[in-house]
Amino acid sequence: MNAVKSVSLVLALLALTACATHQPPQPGSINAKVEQLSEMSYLQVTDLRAVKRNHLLTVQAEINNTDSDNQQLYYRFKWLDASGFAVGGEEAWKPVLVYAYQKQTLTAVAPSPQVTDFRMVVQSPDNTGNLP
Amino acid sequence: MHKSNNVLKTAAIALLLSGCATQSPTLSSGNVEYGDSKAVETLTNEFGSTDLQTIAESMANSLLQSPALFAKSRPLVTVAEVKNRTSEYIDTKSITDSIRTKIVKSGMVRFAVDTSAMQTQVEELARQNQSGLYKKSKSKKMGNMEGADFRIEGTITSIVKRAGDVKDVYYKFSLQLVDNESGTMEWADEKEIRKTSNKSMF
Repeated sequence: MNAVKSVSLVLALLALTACATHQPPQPGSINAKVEQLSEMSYLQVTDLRAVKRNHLLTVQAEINNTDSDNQQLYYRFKWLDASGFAVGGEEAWKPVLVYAYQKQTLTAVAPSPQVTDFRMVVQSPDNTGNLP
Repeated sequence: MHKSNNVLKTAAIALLLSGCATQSPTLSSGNVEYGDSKAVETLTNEFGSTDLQTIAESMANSLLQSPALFAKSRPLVTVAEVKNRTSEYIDTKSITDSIRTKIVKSGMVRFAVDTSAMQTQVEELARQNQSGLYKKSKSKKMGNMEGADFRIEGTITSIVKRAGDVKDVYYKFSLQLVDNESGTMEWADEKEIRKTSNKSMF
């Protein structure tokens, strides 16, 4: 009986640790490309697409505000070459106002043809509410 | 024995303290600190660093996507004047310098010396060719400068409105690319910025 108890305890512990482990984002998913400086509750990056135009990587992101209040978003892109090195130095942070329930489209162009990959860094100051 | 114990204890505490305190390589009065030059600046609603950075980035991105510019491989471009038609002092040369830097770094466009740098260019050529100090075979020849295919010019305007404690400033930065030979406008874009400040406490 005691053995059964300890086995179930071990299983429960295993289940708990599995839940607590932070799963790395799936390659190719939006989360693999988006770096949130703090977990955003109301603003979500719902679509992210990249295409080479005129030899330059062009990125379009769709930001969805799920809240009934306007939300301020700050964002910038990190541009990476094929070896994963940063290209073109740091970008300036850009402010964007996203209206209530609005889907805002943002576009960006890589600074050089060497860019093959990117990360979108986002931060929203008044965004500590619970998920709807 | 008791005394030596005390000395040892003091030495141990001193060692511990010196181990914990990490010294930064700074010399400061405590009032000055370095910040992020790329941060969003909203100290006042006058033209600021974030406006300059976003205008330069937006214009350089748009220009690098212009098909007219790349009909020719690595076209030669020059920067003409950007007129400041706002009510405040704005260093428009600083904006065009940032745009030019971003475009040059892409490696897809070359820039010819603009009118402000022409005097230095002429003086350098004259020094190499007319001072008699340089070897003929090693000096850069006169008459080989290349004319730019395109020129970039533009304006920045503003509309300022006040209503009670609220002040609203709207900036519009317009830039255009003109073919120097034909005189035709091949590309144009605008960047608009709105900044609103409220003086009231409530």
